[in-house]
Amino acid sequence: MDALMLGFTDALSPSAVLFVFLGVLLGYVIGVLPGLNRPAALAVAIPLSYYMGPVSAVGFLIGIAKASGAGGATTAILINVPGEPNAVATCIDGYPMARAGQGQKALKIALYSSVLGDIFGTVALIALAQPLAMLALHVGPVEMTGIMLISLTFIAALAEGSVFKSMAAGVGGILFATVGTDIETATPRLTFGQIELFDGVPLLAVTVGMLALSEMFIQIEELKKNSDQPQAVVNHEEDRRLRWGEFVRIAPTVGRSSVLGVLVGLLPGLGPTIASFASYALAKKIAGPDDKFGEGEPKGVAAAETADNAVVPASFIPLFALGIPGSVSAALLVGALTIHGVVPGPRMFETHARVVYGIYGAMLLASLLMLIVGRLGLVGFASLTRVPPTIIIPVVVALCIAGAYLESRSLFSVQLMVAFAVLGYVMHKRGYSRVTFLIGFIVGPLLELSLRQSIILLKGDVSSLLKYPVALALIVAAVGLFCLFVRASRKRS
Amino acid sequence: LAGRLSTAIEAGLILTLALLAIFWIIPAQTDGDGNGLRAADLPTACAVIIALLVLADSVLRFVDSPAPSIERGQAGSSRVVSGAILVCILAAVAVQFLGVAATSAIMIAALMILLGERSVLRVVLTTVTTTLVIASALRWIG
Repeated sequence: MDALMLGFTDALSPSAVLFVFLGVLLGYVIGVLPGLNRPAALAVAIPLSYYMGPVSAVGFLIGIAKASGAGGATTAILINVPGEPNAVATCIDGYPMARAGQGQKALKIALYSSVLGDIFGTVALIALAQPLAMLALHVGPVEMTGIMLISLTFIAALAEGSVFKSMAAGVGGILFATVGTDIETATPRLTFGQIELFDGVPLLAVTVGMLALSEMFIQIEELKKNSDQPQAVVNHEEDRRLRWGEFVRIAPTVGRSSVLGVLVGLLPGLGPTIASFASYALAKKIAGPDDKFGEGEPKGVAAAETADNAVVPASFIPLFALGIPGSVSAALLVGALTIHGVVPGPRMFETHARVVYGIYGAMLLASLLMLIVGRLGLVGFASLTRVPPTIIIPVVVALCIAGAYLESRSLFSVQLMVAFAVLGYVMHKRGYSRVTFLIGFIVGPLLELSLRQSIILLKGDVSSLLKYPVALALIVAAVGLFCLFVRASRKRS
Repeated sequence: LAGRLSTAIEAGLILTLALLAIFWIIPAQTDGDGNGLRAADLPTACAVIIALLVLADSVLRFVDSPAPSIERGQAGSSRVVSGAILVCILAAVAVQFLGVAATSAIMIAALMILLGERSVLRVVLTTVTTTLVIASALRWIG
């Protein structure tokens, strides 16, 4: 109870409140600005969090993650341009609403649904993470290896494109994670004599390079392909008010989509895009005769936005309970937590209980601030859609360089980050998932440790695996899932 | 044909890199026998798995899919991306001589012009503002 009180006190300290507020504000701006997305923004913001306390740092990043999702609805509704794939479902009914003179009403529905979905996801995280972590403490290394294998298979299989390539990207991430001093023999491994690599490849160089800088290269390509910039819909005779009756009408959709978002967030790899589309599809499937999906139906906007935002906190459940990041946002959070000496996983609740409760408090605070900032800046944020990408992209590139330098004050980090950005761009062009690579890179050390412990426990005899039926079942399921996804992807192509 | 050729080149390149890693880089860059796993075991296993997955993907691609068509206008955008990558690589080198703030200033201006920004006022304002923010952040952090 002491840890709970102290944690919530930390979350409500003036500095934490300020940083969460700044995170939410920055998240909204990033969500609205064309060409910027949640992972890129988080990757650029991590170096800034170095200089904050753990609760402020994680609160700041969570503020960005939460608000960028909600902010992304602005461009989807007003200019029919989804900033991220998960906002595509919002466009379907949001843009027709804007065209019909209900742009502000659609923005309000998106905001309230986002906040409600987010609060539901955060409450689910608080309720489920600790009990699951207690269960996870009884899981041995053999079973943990099985859990990690099945999670990686899921993440790779659900990434866009070829299952083989996504899996290869994940294994590539693990390969890069083996660089550095070997945890058991303490001898340098794959360091090429570079002292800077003795502690491993810097996490920030990988995240900023792979997610932020390479994303800017992709945006430059898109910019040159589609040089016409869409204009926001302006209608002076708008129906702006969201009436209580209308809110009551969409409330059941918000409830169902929140539950669906949490369920999707619990499973590693599914993410907000699948959640928003699945939620939209569910809402459409059970639609009444008066619901006009695809023609400006408020329930459509609510369904997509609620699930999109419920996923973010829910995807932290596998991270807090098992130490396995289920999404790219969660993977980036690992970096921020590790910097502050907090290793995500079941032991976190014993060793850093105060920080965990502080993070919970900061998450709830971020939800509240999301509502306030979003409501006050509803019109102001919309005007940001006019900032041209010729300004945004160079500024973000400069921030990437400065961010990589700030991590270790080393020019080697900057050069490595640029190298990873080029690698990320090539991977994108050739259909290799950058997200799977990053998750493989983050899970790599944990997987190697579990694998080593498992081999010692099994005495190098594979048949001893029969003594661990749960682990065996998980490994068989991972192989089965892989085959199933390969078959499905071949049928699709 | 272009699609199949690029698939073959990609597979060939990755397989070559994987073989180099398995037979030369990993043995030369690892040392020590651990309990359960040797230091070289996991990197070697990763390289083998990557090679097998890429090989399987290429074989299926040859069997399954027709060659993808080349998009019109892609060459132009590739030139700009290549230019941007070059600017970043030069910046990564220049940063050790000029420092982070000065390199950022030059890089922002170069990228804005490369992306087609022709308003001098915008270029100057963006460059100066961002550089000031970065320089202040570096100074504040110490």
